[in-house]
Parts: sequence; structure tokens; C-alpha cells
Amino acid sequence: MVSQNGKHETYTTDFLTYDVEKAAFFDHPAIDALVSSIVAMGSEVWSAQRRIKVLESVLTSQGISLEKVNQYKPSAEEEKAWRVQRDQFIKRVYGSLEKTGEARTQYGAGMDSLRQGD
Amino acid sequence: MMDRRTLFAGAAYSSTLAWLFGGSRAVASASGKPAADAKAGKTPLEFDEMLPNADVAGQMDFHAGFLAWSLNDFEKQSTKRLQAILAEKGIDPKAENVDLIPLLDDIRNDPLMALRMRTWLSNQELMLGGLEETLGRESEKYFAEMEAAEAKYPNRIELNPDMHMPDYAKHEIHLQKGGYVGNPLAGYVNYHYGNILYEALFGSNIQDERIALMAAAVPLPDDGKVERALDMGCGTGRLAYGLKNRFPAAKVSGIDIAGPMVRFSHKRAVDLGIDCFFAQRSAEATGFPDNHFDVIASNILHHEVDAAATDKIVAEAFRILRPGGIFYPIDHPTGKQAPKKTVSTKFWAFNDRAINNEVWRADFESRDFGDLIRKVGFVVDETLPPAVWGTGSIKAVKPA
Repeated sequence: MVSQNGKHETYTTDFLTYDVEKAAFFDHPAIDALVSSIVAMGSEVWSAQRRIKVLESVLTSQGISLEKVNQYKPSAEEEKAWRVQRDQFIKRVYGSLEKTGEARTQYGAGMDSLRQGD
Repeated sequence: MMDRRTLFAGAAYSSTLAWLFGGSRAVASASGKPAADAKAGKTPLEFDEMLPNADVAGQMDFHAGFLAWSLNDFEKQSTKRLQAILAEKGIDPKAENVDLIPLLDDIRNDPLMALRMRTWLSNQELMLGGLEETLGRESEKYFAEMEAAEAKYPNRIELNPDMHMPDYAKHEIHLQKGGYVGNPLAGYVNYHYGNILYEALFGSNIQDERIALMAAAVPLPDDGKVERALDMGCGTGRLAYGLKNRFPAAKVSGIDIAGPMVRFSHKRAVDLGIDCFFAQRSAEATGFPDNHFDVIASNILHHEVDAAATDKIVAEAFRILRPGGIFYPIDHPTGKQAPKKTVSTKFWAFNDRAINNEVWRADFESRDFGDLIRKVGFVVDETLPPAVWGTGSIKAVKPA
């Protein structure tokens, strides 16, 4: 197979999909979605905290006081771009809530005949 | 930046077990500075394969930490809850030969159990989804890397676009989209996923430290001669690197049925300055001559293929190993070495299939791997310490 842009040989083949995206663990899918959102939120928050730590280390190593960060006023262009990124962030974190109306099946359904390792 | 080969070799063979140092994915990606706060006097570890940016690096750092918490503290609490559920039903939690299936609904419907499985799955989906999305956005860069390595050392790689792919190899193991065969960047995804998993389970593996321990555990033939070594089902190539570092004068090969994995193995070997030959070949029929290798090793290959393939792979290993040579498959413990089959261990194994898509694990663990190897003609020793914690121990010698 070649890549989507036709430029590269991919050395890939067809594969067998396994979809657990709609697996249900709770009585109502909204709860599943909420739990996923909470995990995603943690990922985003920690990523941001780590990035801030990196930035502060870089700034102080360059002799820039962190007080300048506290006093900084974003430009109009920055505000506009950051709003787009904020909306992307919200979609990532809360997007799973949109799927609460979709039908789900209990995870592991139909697997009763699976070996149990014995 | 420190020379990668020096860094790798130093970390891999340090008597200080450098893998015990923690990783720090985010800072490494953002700055290229040493990734871990090494203990005093020890060389800090450094990533040689960076994630695309500090944001995704931070996210993956979170997923590693979350996974470690999920597999340790949270799993302990949920196992206690599972045992309480069994006790309420008058079932001894330590009893073996208890059927899991009639108990599944009671276990799955418990809120704590549901929360444990739900959060694990969400973390896995976010981790792999994030890796696939961000690495995919930079696919041109990664294609260029692999192609450049192939142009530089064309004799160290063999790819087969016409490879017949058996169904057992086509599954999306661990929920990795496209599995090992359907995503051209599968090697990159699996490398970073492996770093996260190993960090969660063992502390760190960013420089293949843990795999180097496996290579160090490979027993020598009685005559000590190791001129040719093979990593069967090499995946991202890490065990092959470890074998080459342990046996620098030997010709070391790694084979895998998945082209994307072979390409990544070769690409990173070139980056690290490691001279290995990687080929897209099936372990069932490797194409190597009879009696060719002195040592054949593998890392978690056999529980990811079906039983029929395992039988063929073991027979093929016997064929291509020279008399007196060593077959050293590192994998899950089975048979006499397997943990007790309590409801608890059965439940976690069930979940490994149901929500981690470990398709062949239960089949593999249902057989005694040592006995299976013995029947092919090997002399098997199962008394050695395992290569690393959590694995089985099988040293097989082809009789002279």
C-alpha cells in the first residue's frame, strides 16, 4: 500500500478492528462519558502544568523574572488564536459527552465462551 | 547532546540498574535536556526518540502516571472489592477452579469495579488516540526518517510488500489502531506506548534499560560461541539491540511479520549506531538455513500469536538453531510457573481480552509452554530465575 498522498510505500496490510469505544460500564452511558471526560481533563491539566514548569525553567535560565508573566497582557491576535485553541481544548475534554445518546452494549458481551486461562 | 550509542550502552549495562530512575517525558521533549532526575552520581537518562511537542509529551506523562496508579493502588482496592463480592456469595477468593462467567454480572455491576475498568479503558484510549493523532500529523517527517535510514544502510533491512499476513497478526492488540500491520507508523506508536507501559509497570525503559536486562539474562551455549543471534518477533527491535550490545562481534538479526515494526527497528538502530539486520519475515517460516543461529530469543512474542502458529514457531526455532544452541523465549508464565487460577486472576485476564484486546493470551496461558517446547526436541530447563520480574523462565537447548 502507499500513503494517502501517494508519496510513500507504507508496507501495511488490512487489519481486524476492535471497537470498544461504545462499551458500557455503567447503567447510563452519560456516566461512562463523564468518567472519560474526567480522565481527559487530568491529562490536559497535567500537560499544561508540565509545560508551565518547562517555560518557567527556560525563562529563569534566561534571566527573565516570572513577575513579567503575571503582568503580561495578550495582544488581540493572541486572544483570537487562544480562543480557537480553548474551543479545541473543550472539544477534547467534553466531546465524549456528545455521545451519550448513542446505544452501547455491555463490555464483554458475547464473550462467555472465552477461555478463562484455565 | 551526548552520543546516543554511548548513552544507550552506558545505561543498558550500568550495574546501577539505571532503569530504576524515573522518566520525565515532558521535559525531555520540550528542552532536550536529560529526562530524569538521576540519583546522585548516576548518569541521567535521556530520550532518543522525542514526541512531537511538549503538550503531547505532557499528556503521555500523565497517562503513564495514571496507568501506574490504576495498575497498583486502584487495582489493589478493586481486587479487595472483588474478593468481598465473592465472600458475600460464600466463595473462597483463594479457591481455584471456580467458574468466572456466572459471577461476571455481579462483579461488573459493582460501581467500584466498573469505575476501575472504565477509567483504565479511557486512559488507554486517550493515550493511544493521542499518540496516533499527533504522530500521524508529522507522518512526512517519520516517513522521511525511515526512508533515509533505508537508503543509508539498505543491506541491514529487508521488507516484503507481498508478505502473506495471517489473521492472527492483524488484530488491534492493546487497542492500537491498525495493530502492528495496518498503520505505517505502528513502530513509532508502539515504541512510545511501550515507554509508557514499562514506566507504569517497572519504572522506565526509555533507553531500553529493561530490555537490556532481558538480553543480559540470555544463557550462553555450553561452548560459549555466539556468532549469530536472532530476535524472533522483534517488534520495535529493542531486544535485538540488547543482544548486539551483549554480543558485539555477533551478527544479530531481528525478524517481525509487520513491515512498519521492522522499519522502525531499523530506523532507530541506525540512529543509535547499532549494526543489526532487520527483516520482515514470519517466525513460522524464517527462511534462515538449518542450524544457523547460536542463540534465538524473543520477548512477549508467543502470547500474541495463536496456538497453531506457536507450534510452528517453536519447530522453526528448533530447525534454525545449531546443535548446542540456546532458545530463550521470554513470555508470560505458563504451566508449572503460572500463578493460581483464582476468580481474581481470571477476571483480570478476562478484562485483558475484553478491553485490552489481548486476543491470544488466554490460549497461550492455557498450555504448558515448557512442555510444548520439550516435545519438539529441546532439552528444557525451567529452574533459572526469570529474565525480569513477571515473566516465565524457559531455557531450551537443542541437543548436540
